[in-house]
Amino acid sequence: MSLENSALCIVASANLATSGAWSETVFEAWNKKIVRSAFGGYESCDFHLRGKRSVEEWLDTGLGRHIEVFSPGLSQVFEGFANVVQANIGGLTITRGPFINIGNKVCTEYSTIDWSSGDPVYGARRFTDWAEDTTSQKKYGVLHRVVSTAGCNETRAEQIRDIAIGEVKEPETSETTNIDSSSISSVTIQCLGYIHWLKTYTVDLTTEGEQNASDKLEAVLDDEPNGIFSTDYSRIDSNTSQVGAEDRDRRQAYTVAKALTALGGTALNRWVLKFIKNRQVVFSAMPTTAKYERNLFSPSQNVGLYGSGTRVMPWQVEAGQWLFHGGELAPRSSSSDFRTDPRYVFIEQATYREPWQLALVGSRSGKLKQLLNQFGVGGYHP
Amino acid sequence: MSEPILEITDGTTTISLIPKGGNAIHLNNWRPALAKFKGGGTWQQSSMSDGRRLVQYQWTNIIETFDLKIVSLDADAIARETQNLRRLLIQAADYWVGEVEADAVWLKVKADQETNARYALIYSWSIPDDENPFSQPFLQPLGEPVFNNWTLTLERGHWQEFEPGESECVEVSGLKPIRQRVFYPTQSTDDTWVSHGLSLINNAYTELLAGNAPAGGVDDMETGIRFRSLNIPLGATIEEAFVRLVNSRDIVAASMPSSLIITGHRNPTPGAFSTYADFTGRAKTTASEEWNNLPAQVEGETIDTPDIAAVVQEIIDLATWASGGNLVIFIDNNGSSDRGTVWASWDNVTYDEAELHVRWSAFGFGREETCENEVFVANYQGMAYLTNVHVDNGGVIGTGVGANLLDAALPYDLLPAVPVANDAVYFGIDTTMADSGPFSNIVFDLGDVFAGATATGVWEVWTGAAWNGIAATMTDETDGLTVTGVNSISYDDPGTPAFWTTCDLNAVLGYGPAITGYWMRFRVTGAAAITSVPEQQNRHPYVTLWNWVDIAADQIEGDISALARHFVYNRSYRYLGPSLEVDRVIMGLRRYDRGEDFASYINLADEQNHSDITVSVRGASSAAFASRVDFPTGRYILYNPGGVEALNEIFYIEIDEDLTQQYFGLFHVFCIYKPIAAIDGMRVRLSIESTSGGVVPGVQTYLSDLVSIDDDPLLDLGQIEISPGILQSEDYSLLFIMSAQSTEAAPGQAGFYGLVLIPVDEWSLDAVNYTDNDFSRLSKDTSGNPIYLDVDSIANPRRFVRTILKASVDGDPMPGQWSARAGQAAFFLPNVRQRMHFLTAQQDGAIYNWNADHRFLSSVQSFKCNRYLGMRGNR
Repeated sequence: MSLENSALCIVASANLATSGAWSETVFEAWNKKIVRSAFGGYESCDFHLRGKRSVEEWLDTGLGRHIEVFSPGLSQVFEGFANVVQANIGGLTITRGPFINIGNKVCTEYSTIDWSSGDPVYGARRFTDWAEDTTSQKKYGVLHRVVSTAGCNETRAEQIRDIAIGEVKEPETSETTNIDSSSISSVTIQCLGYIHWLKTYTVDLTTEGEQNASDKLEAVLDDEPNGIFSTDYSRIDSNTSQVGAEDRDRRQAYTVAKALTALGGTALNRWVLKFIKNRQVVFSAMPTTAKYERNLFSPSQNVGLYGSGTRVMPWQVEAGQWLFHGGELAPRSSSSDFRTDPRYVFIEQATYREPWQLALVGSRSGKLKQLLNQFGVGGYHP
Repeated sequence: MSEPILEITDGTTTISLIPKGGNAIHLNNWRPALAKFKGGGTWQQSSMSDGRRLVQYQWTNIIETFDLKIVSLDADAIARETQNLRRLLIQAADYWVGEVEADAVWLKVKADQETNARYALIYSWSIPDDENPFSQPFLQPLGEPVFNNWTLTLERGHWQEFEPGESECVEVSGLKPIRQRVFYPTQSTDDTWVSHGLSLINNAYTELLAGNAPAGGVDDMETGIRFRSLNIPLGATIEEAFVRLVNSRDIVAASMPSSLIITGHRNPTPGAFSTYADFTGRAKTTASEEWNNLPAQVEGETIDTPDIAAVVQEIIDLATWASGGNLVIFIDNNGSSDRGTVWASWDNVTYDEAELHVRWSAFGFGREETCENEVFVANYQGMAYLTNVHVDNGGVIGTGVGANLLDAALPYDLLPAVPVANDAVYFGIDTTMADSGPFSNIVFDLGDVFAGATATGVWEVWTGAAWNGIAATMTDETDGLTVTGVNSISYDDPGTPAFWTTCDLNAVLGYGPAITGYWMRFRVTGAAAITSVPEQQNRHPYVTLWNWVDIAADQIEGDISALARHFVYNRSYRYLGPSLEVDRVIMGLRRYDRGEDFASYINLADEQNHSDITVSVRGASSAAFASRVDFPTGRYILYNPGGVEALNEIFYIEIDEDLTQQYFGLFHVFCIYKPIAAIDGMRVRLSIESTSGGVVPGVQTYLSDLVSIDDDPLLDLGQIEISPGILQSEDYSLLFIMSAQSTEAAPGQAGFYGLVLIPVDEWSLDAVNYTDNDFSRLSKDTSGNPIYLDVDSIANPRRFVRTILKASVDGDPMPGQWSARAGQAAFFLPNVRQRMHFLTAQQDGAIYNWNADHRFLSSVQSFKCNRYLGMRGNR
């Protein structure tokens, strides 16, 4: 590869949940960091900008922007949204966000309470109707928020809801001032991958009975209120682990997706869920072959494609794949069981930092977690 | 030589740092600094291996330190000098901080005796202190105050050829100079061998013999082969030619001829072989090539002759040679004694007949390097050149030699001198030739135009039973051959139901050349008081068959990459005509010497690819080659699963080992197809193998869904790197394998026709129209003036690379927003020949659906600003 073409390119566009058609290439960004995870795919991306103009612009309108990062090869290496904008202006630090904490469609979850017998008797958990703020929705898209409270009557619960929506319909803003400080005007944009957009809405699934985990995942994605996820489910493999189809407890879509992934497959093998380009979801069993290799003794220390050694740029290494460490790392005999062979590592998280740093967090993978989750005792309720 | 220059300027205000025009600033000392790698570059290393390796570098800005002296008449004057300089330097910094407030400020430098000046943008500056105004040296006895050792530090960019924002055109070319074809004998009497010892000819023999037979056999054998229909134009330069023969027997080395000699029949229209006298009576070329020490031959294997370019050239250079003619090659004994060799003839049913491989340069097809907006770029790559242009003069199409204007000398008229209604000019591609097919554009270069009181005509194609007008689906920049200069016509054939069909022109007209092909004509409908007829002036009409422009090595000088700017024009759209607007322009730069035969566009067809590229369908799959006129080559691969089907390989592209190294590099890969019948539930995956067997681990794309938009969906298959490690051995070929699956009972049908490999490892850009209105598209205005995309890293130094849509009439920006995805500013590589590859697409419905119709026709102009690390000298 030529030494010339080695810079990532960031393109910022209007929040996909709004009707804007704005887009701009952010050439001045520096100190880029991209994280990819086995659960989620595009996990996060941070970058910095300097200068008064950038600070004002991003602080004012940056939150929720659709962010794409492209490799020099014009391939997308991250897609997400601006979740937190933090600006430093002299001694003043202003933080706006997180975006995912905004709520403009809000309800209250509460328990009925009965005082008729003297002591309060708490009844079933209930939800108020949704309250919506259309002004905020036009600005940021429809973002759910469930406010949970203890026992109260419906009127009180609705009052809580109405107060809450007034407070969360706009992003949180915090400021700290240090009058001694005189830092350069700069802004840091912390972006999240669209896996985290699952935290902005709750599901309401009314189908009864049992269904495949993969079918329920599609239903969860279908419930996204802004229509920003791809409806191309061709990369959602069939996972026949059975789960309850109905889900009316206004749970976050993220929680349900995480639980569905934690179930694994019927063979108790681990599954991975990733958001890829154009917010399409990949849901599949973890791979059984290595994708990458790396030679500990090579001066270049690059990650290469397993088998051919073809170089993989550090910004393109995917999480959710097996990496094989070559060289002279014991054992020297080949093994088909990646779990027991220390030369193989399953990449849970891959973190790239400009210009050339790559940090990989690896793990083993067994069957026990999946089994426990399928028995309903693993901490996740699908 | 001109005077030395060292000045700081914004183009209006100039302050010299050396004595000039009575200024007060003098340069005590300056050692010009050179750019370095940022942070020393990015290195990687292992503690368990020697050394370290540089993996990336970028250039720093450069810090220059000038030791200055100011001498003036009085203190006020010195204050004014320093104020003026500081004001200019503040402006330099303001330029970068603001967006509109200030003009750029730069250094201009030229040494004494140096020919050219150089320029560098100033980013920042500092002057740590002034002289103490209350002591020496400021206070001088004679009253002329002095600032001595006054230090100015500037942070600047690279030295440039021009003032910031300025550029110079780069001559680009769109010429497909090398053509490569294989020609064959096509009948029994096209090849033969004779025994000069026995005066015998053996026309129907299944073998061809040359040399001297072993004892007791025939003596002094010579082979003659007539290769048919060489569509090589008169004047072409033969780059390489050889005959490939198939050994029909095993012969040990000791029995092989020690020497043969190869000549040609010096005749542009040789007939079939008949008698021995006919054979021996043929005049031979002066040029010849010896073929010595033939190795042992193994039955069934092929053997190539030495290069016989000179022999072929001599025949092609004959004054009466015409494209499409036949050519005879002789292979004779050259003193071998009792040794002979045997190859398969046309009559051999076991082995293939001989092949004549020729590579040649054909001038006149395309545009030589120019700064004018005359370099066209297609959205595909093909080999179907125009083969015929004929003028119909009242029912007569040229008689005898010269009837085909492509063989005539330029300039020539495209209509009779006194045209009347129904006179016409025909443009055709002979489809009996290899690598022929339909065409979707013709580029003209008109000197005189069709003019008079009435001078009108219509464009028509043959549709099977009649000539039909195509006005509704074409764009005619020549406006009926009435516009002077270089302009194109673009034709958007509907394809289905079948419209344009091939015909034998003579059979259709009752006169003219008996050539079967795709014919298009311009027919005169009105001709009164004609004052001039259209004249093709500087080059033949041609079909744009390439998706790139070339930049010669001498176009870009400098020490490092030159900043670049490109204007990409839409030439195929017409207001209220074919919907060929463009919303996406993808560009990829590649050094030419990485592979002169590298094609970024591979036809998924059984024709019109480099001879070392073979496209095949898997025998047991639901895929097959098929024909339809609205595909770029007229051929494509039809995937018709008919129902649910598992993931299977459906076709593959084999890059022969001779060519694979030209494909090493990083590419963004796209596949283009047409939904033949509405697609539902079809997915494809591309993988790479080498002929050593097996999918190369990791080099395969995700399964991608095919979409069913109306036009030509562009399937983005992502990025792949082809490296030597994939092949495992340089003797292996490279295979691109497409697998497909169908998940629905009625999946429809897909017609694959193009695989595009945009090189992305040097410079690349993906410019996308993000605005959803008709004015933001790369198209033409209502008057037919092209709108162009300005891909610019020069005009506004504050912008890394910007993509702005502009009107060609005034250069003003158009509404709409195009976003550029590029990792680097646009640049050219210095001092090397390079090729810019293009792919254009149109947004089709949903934002991620792209239509990459092969009929998008563009033209390109480029500009550059060379950059230097130090002095320019006379460069």
